[in-house]
Amino acid sequence: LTSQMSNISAGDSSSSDDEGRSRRCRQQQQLPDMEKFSAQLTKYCRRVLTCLPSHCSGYDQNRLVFAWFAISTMDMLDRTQELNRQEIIDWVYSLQILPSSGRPVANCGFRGAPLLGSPADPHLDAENPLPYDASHLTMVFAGLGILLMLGDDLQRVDRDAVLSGVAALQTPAGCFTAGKFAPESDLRFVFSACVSCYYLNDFTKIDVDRSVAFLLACQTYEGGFGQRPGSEAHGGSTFCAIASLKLLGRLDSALPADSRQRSRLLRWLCQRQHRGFHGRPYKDDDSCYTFWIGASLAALGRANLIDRSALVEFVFSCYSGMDGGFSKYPGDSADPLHTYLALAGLAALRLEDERLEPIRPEANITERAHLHMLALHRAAAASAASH
Amino acid sequence: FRPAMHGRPRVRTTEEQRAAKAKERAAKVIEYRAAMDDAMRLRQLCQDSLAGLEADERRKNREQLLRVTQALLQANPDIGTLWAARRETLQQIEQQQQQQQQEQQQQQEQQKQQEQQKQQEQQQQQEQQQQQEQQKQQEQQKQQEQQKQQQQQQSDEAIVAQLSNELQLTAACLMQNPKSYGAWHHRAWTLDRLGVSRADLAGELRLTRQFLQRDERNFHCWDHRRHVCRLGGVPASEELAFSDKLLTANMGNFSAWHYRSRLLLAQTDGGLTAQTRKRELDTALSAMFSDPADTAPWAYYRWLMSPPSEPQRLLWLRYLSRNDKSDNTDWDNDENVSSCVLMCLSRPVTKAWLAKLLDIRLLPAGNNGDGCRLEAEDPVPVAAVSGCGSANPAAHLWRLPIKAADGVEVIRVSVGADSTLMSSTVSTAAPGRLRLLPSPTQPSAVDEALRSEQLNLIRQLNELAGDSRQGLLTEAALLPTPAEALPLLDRLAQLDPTRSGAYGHARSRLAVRARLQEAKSEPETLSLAGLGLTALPLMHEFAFVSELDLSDNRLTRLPGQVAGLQLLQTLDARRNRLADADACRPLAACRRLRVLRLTGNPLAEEAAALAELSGQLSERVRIELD
Repeated sequence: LTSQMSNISAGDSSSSDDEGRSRRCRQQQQLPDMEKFSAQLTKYCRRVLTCLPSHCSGYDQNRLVFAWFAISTMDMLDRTQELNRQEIIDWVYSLQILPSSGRPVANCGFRGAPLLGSPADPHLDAENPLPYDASHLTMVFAGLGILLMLGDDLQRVDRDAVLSGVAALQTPAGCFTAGKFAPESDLRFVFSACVSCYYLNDFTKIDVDRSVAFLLACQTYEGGFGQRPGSEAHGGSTFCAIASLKLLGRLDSALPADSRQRSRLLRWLCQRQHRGFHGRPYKDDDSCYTFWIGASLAALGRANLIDRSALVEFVFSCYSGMDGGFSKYPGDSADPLHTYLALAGLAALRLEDERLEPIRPEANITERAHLHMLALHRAAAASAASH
Repeated sequence: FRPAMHGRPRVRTTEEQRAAKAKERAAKVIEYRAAMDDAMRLRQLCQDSLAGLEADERRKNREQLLRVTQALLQANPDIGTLWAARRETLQQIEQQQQQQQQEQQQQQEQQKQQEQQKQQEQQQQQEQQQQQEQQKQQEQQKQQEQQKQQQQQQSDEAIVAQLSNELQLTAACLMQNPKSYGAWHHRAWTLDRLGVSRADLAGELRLTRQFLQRDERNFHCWDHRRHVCRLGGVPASEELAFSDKLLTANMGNFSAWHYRSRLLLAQTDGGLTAQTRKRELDTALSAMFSDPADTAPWAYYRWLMSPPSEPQRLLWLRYLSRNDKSDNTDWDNDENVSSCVLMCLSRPVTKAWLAKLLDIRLLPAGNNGDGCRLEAEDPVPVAAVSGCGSANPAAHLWRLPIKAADGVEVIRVSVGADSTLMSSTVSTAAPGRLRLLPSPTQPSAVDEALRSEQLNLIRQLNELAGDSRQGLLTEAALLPTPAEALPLLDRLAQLDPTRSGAYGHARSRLAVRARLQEAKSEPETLSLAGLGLTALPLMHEFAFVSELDLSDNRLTRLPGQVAGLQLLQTLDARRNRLADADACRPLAACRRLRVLRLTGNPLAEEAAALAELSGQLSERVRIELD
């Protein structure tokens, strides 16, 4: 969901190795049995968590998101207990940006990596804040997500600071910028903002009405949603819009069940299937849209409208036992983003209930982690009531 | 550097090649880290707030920062923080130049004043040379003006040179990475900084054109072009001509069609004129006729032919009285509430909306005046569609409690304001009677003549081209009544099995709509039997029913909105696909339900499931399994 990742969503329908790819596609993809599949994937995720190949060096400042891809994948396999949970939790907390006299609350949240040399102790860091060190909305979402998945109780999260940091990034139009030093604004960050507020169960600091207005302005004549008003409808931004509306509790009033906008949207989503899903008309099927389109339909309660077997077949044609992960197109190399999104799409559509823990589509997290989140919310409400 | 996730094909390498590559990469990593550290150190130094640095040193640091970041960004244009560093540096340079300029101006002002003083003294001494002196003064003033302008120009040129450098840098980055968010964003920032007067907007449009030639779907480039047009105030007509050229070259250019739709809306301020619509229809049709297999123009065509959004409609009202013996609903405990009005709207609304736009008046017998206005004190949403449990639920169906009012004969309910006002009345003399508002004839800004003309054209095209997904969808959309579209949807499901679920769903909607449009003498008894329904839409439109026949359909579950059928007494759900108690769960909220028919459902064969269902429903409900 970071700027680089989303380049995938722009979709590159040209390939430099078309012949090789089609040759590999013709080889039958055999689905591995559950144990082997789970073992291969886990091995891949562990690799992602320990050491990435050098061509990923450009993603240095996005380590938190990469960790999130790997941990979320393992969460779907119900194998996070094999990780050193406490170590990871502590690492996530080390990326928290806390307020202090030298750092206004508007800069607070989470960073993606200690790129600028911030110390591992966030309190120490707060005493001597580095200039240009600021929160990034996608990292807030990824950080909180990892903590929930690993069963942390969020006690060390400075809720007020994080939420103020999110609110500070809202634009007058209702959109959100990515961070203080990342002024681009589009629906990716509206989603990151909404889901962060959802995890912390507090929407009071942001202007919900304005965001809903901005979201609706992004719907195009085709029925899908673009990244900004005026932009072309696109699978990734469509998910961000639907999920944001749902998390804000406004989906059914903004897009009423029998309205034309809703039917156009559903039709647009259904049209995005050849065998797998793609993000825009005329694009090749791409495994990451398994989630962007699939979870959109699931969030709208319409998972039943697609051709399920064709989708599953396509997704697994993007799997490579040798790599242990999923690639964008059949025959390419695996990468962490497509590995997570291909599986999460199936999990959100409940197509692989025997292999995968289901995903709550609009919250982009497993049902198990979601239940844990709800329990934390209830506990917080109870203790607030007793005071 | 090639971003990792743009689809890397797998390539086999030998051990030797692998080792050599590893060494190369290791060296690159060290270089990269060193450069990043350098950049961050320089950025810190460039902060003018750091005391003790000479202006000269600051300038050197800035220049070095620009050099270092340039190299890094050309390798990886997605490090947002480096672009930000450049923007800060440019702003600092600009500030500094402005400061210098101000200082120079001040100096000149001082000089001017001194000159003037000198001249005045001379004037007092030598009056004969007055004229010569005056001339000199004027010349000097002119010179100073020129100097000022020159300096302005120079510093302007300096800034423009800096910004042009940014344009070159971003262009270089984009050649390698045409989809870099960071590079496009920085370019847009640079253009904004240059402003309309100094930017080469024509050149910028040419650049976007080049990138679109490489990839006509690059939405970053399209967004950039939109930005440039906004900045330069490029008229929509010019951009429509641009999209014309692109579409002539390739009719399937989806992004160009999309762009057209935005331009038209901007040009005509939201509503297309008949003339514009006709012209656009012709454009789309010629594309569709020349290559019916190309999807893009069809989607655009359907958009052109779609009627405007349906406005809010008041659908029906029903007056309920506590004193009505035939009403066996449980009433609330509030003794003051003797009656209520059930009101249904076509689009869900919130309490806040009602507070502003709902008007209830009690009109006593014989009184022809305005009556007395009633505050809708506590409208209760029935089967809220969203925000359940929150402070702001939205619903189609609202229960409006009315306190005791003697002698009141007529209650008038109005919603909306001015031109959108809808109003109807219920009589207290007839509690329980349904007041169903007539549904307006299909409103269309697309007039009937146009619709039937276009329908003929599409039918011709479909005959020529044979059954196609786009052709059938479009024909169905143009038919005047929902019933006529049903056979088309059946053909679509056969032609396009991938989406058969979606078509079944759309078909259900049309079938229900068709049934609802048929005139009925007894609207409270509704039959939706034998329609092949896979879903149950539009329930709020018939939420007043007391008898509902859903038999011989394909429902696998009763949707949540069934809870809104508050007056339902008998439900015939025989011969569907209801599999378990969960599938019928929403019925628990139907307070008046007395008879439920389930024969011919998988559920009917499962004793345990039936027992569970019984437990969920009130004991007053009789489950029939003949």
